[in-house]
Amino acid sequence: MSNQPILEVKGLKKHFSVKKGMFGAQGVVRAVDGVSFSVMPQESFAVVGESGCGKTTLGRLILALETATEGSVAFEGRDLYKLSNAELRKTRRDLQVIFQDPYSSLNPRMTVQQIIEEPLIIHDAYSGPGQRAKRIDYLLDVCGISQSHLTRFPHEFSGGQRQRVGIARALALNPKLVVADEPVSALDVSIQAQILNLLKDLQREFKLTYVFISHDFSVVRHLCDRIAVMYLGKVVELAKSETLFDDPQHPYTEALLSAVPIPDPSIEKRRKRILLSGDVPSPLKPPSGCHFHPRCRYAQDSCRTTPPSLEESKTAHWTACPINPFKEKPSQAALIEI
Amino acid sequence: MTLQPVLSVKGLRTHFFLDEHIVRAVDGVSYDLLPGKTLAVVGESGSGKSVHALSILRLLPEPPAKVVAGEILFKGKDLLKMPAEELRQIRGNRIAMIFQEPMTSLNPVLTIGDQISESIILHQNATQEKAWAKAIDLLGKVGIPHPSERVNDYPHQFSGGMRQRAMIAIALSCEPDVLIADEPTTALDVTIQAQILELMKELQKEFHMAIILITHNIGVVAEMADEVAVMYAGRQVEYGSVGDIFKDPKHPYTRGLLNSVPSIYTRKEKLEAIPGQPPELNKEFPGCPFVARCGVAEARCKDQDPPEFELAAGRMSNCWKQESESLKTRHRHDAGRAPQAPVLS
Ligand SMILES: Nc1ncnc2c1ncn2[C@@H]1O[C@H](COP(=O)(O)OP(=O)(O)OP(=O)(O)O)[C@@H](O)[C@H]1O
Ligand SMILES: Nc1ncnc2c1ncn2[C@@H]1O[C@H](COP(=O)(O)OP(=O)(O)OP(=O)(O)O)[C@@H](O)[C@H]1O
Ligand code: SF4
Ligand SMILES: [Mg+2]
Ligand SMILES: [Mg+2]
Repeated sequence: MSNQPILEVKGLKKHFSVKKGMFGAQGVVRAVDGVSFSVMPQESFAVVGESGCGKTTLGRLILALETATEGSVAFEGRDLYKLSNAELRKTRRDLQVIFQDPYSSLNPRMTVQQIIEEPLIIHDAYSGPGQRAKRIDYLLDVCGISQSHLTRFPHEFSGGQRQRVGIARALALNPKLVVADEPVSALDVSIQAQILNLLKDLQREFKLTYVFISHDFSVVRHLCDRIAVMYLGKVVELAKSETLFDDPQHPYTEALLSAVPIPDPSIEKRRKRILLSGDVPSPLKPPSGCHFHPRCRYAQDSCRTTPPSLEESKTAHWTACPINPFKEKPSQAALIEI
Repeated sequence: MTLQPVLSVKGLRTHFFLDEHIVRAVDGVSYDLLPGKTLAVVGESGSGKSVHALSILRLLPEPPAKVVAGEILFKGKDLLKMPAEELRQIRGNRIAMIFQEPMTSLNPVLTIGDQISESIILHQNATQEKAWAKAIDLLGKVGIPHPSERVNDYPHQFSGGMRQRAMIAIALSCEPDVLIADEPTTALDVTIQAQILELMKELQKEFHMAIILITHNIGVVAEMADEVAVMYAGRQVEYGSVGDIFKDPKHPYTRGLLNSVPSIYTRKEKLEAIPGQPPELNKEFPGCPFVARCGVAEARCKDQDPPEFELAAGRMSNCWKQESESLKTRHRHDAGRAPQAPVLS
């Protein structure tokens, strides 16, 4: 494994102008608002957070499907936003995406064969005699799709089978980095487990790097090495997966973890929840200072005015909370030991 | 004194009679629901959870839907045999229901206050004024800040979590004996889900109502349930207390389901996924519907329908493997006076 990050995101911002209210006044949604991190080759990097916090926008920025308002995304050391169209097209082979909704992300008029083959045709890859058929055979095999499905259409399949087809398509060109945006959220648990196991196996087989976007901490814990927690466009905590679960440092992470139900009634019965009051505020009018302060039980006066920056609160553990409430006393969320 | 069940479902089967085929959406569900308790109904998408709930309130379009067998006893009276007028007095009043997507069940052109007070006036003969005051009171109870102002809002002015609170306020307006909640938090963020579940627990204590909680989230089951009914392909395949189901699951599907859930609590190297897909419901299975995905199937599982084996009081499994432990055996279609299935021409 090399020591160079495969992906480097620096000061990334994406602001959308939107009409506000009935009179059409312009407002700005700071969907992604100053995000920085780097991902090492073959790492699984998770981005978690609640609906609307900017996860999908961040994913689209990483894939250069969206232009940034500010900041840069470097893939293997090259700034994606500075590449010419031709160069970007070539780089796209290495950057692929798996979407949440296997129902709408596959073209309903294409057969499974056409769906998987299309990227090979576009990039003129595996073009020698018999190579394409061999490649498709291989993809079917590793993704657990039966040969007999090749001539069938997406609507003939269940959600899990469709997601397998989407994954086979994403892997067709042997990418290096895969952005998976809620790839199992639409699936039933028993099927979700199949796909998660598949993604794990494929990572080894293809030496993949994942940026895994999810709102589900349980899924992320199972699959990912490091986790970034987002709130209203900003990363509030970033740490190794185990550390984040055992020793969360940000009050928002603490509350999020404590809200996740644990599939074990004997634990649930003894658990105390930290209930956050109110909803996530509108991204059109985020609270001043620390965006989380109106819902935070540790907030002090300074939190209302000073926006915190992401600091290394412990080794390789980054937190955007200067109050540091868990320095002496570990967070409640970590106290669910039996 | 033993508690009488407030609701008893016996051998419920609800089918859809379509042009080409019959969909056996619910094909054998039986349980007793006790006052003040929560029954979780779990199962994969399409396993019949919602159709079962809609059957209880007779909210399904008939045709194509038809309850072909079973009894649904509310305080001893069969809802399936009740005249429409009598049923209307129970629906939304003694038995209330909330759905996954509150936006589709709220009326977008009426204020939240109108909708809550309408329900109160309809079921309790209250005056407009009294109903409005109660609406404000209820909004406060379900945790809407500044209820006397927000009561004038329209549904689109509420966030997803607030809409679900408003739905709960409507459902509770008549202090029902039974609340059926069909995936009430599935569309919500996890911190909002935690708020809503907490609210349901508090209100359950206060009103002493029984809850049927439909969910596919195993964590939510662990948090909320007293009893659990597991559904697969329209059939209730296992039933028991929440402790028994999690500690000692009997049916291979329940075991697979519990093993396939990731948890924030532990990291497993590999999840134990259930192979294959659930079967399509438009075919009749001569044997066990789980046979194609089951790791311990026997020869007879393919063509012999496993009956319901009662393993202890309130503990049931529909798997041939439990035959030897069984105290009592009942066919899943048995329900005392089952009405006749219609004859298809
Ligand atoms: N094209 C757009 N124009 C205006 N606003 C947008 C646009 N795309 C996203 N947004 C806004 O940016 C914010 C972040 O959206 P995004 O889709 O990235 O969130 P998310 O974290 O992926 O949410 P979810 O979990 O619901 O998918 C939201 O407030 C959203 O409404
Ligand atoms: N109006 C209808 N006509 C025909 N079939 C129907 C109808 N409504 C439901 N079904 C079928 O009945 C079966 C059970 O559906 P149901 O909605 O009860 O599943 P569910 O367990 O609630 O699933 P989910 O978790 O996705 O909500 C499904 O196969 C569904 O396709
Ligand atoms: S900075 Fe203040 S408001 Fe923000 S999380 Fe920390 S304690 Fe809470
Ligand atoms: Mg998204
Ligand atoms: Mg349903």
